[in-house]
Amino acid sequence: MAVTPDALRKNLADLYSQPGVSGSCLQTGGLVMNHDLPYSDERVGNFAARVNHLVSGYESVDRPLWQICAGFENFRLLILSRGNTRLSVLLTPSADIDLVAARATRLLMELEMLPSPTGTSANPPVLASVGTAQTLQTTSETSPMMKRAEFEKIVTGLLSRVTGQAQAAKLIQRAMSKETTPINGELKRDDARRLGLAILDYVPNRGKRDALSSEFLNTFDS
Amino acid sequence: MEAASGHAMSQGLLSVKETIRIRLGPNKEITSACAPVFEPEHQEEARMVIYEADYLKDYLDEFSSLLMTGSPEFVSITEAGRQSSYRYAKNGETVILLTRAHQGVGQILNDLN
Repeated sequence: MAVTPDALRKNLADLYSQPGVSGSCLQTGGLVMNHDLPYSDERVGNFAARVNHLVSGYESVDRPLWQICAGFENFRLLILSRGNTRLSVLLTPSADIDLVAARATRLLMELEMLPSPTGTSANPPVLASVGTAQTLQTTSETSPMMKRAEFEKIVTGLLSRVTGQAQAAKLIQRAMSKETTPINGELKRDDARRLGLAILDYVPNRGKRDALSSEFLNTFDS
Repeated sequence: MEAASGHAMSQGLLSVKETIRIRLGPNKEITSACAPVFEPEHQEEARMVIYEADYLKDYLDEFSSLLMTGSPEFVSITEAGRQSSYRYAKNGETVILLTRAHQGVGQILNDLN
């Protein structure tokens, strides 16, 4: 993974601004890139190997996982995965897991976008998720439209967690009538993505808004 | 152990009902479940889901041992179009909840009760 320590520190600082975050472990495949868990490197290495084994097991049967949230007596463990990168976050039981998950997802997305540092070796490790992004783009090129009903279902599902379904439907109708015109019941994917984020921007609580927007992008791009 | 195949999982129980609930006794016998779980065409998937409860529990036990976090209580895995949640009681009972819509952890814990 081509990530400088400074860039990583900056991104992790945002995650640690959430109350209840006790430690984290960032890994590419089974290889630990950075961790501050209060255990020996060897123990964390074993943990990372098991995390990778678990996530890879699902991936090998065409079930790529976005998130694993595990609850224990004394801690919560959040594991997020994008491409070959896994981020595990150890939390106290009082932490708001959904908010932390939203921040952590954003962190993983930002790590994907960081440029490679100059002066790296001729054959630097490449984020597996870069390939995923390219695949998604290709898919988007071959299928640039999405059904309006499908779009409405995704956004209504997300909005209905913070507002009534009727209110959610009204919000979507209003935004769609202002923003774009469906063609034969379909929307351009780019328009749908922009519109979805614009609609979710109406959610007043910043944390919930961030969480729903992240989930929208995950669902939209899957 | 291997996780259940995604192809089979995406077309089965959750295509019939948005939420599937299964309650298991200490010996992994079904003590209660939604009606589709008992339909012949879904029994293979139901078996896989029950198997998955143990599969995940094994990992949680390892994490618990490595990170010294105490006994596993629940786990929820989120993938495209599906969230599978498992709650493990100290008496050996397990509650399984499959949902099409992704839920926050607070909601999952409520629904698993």
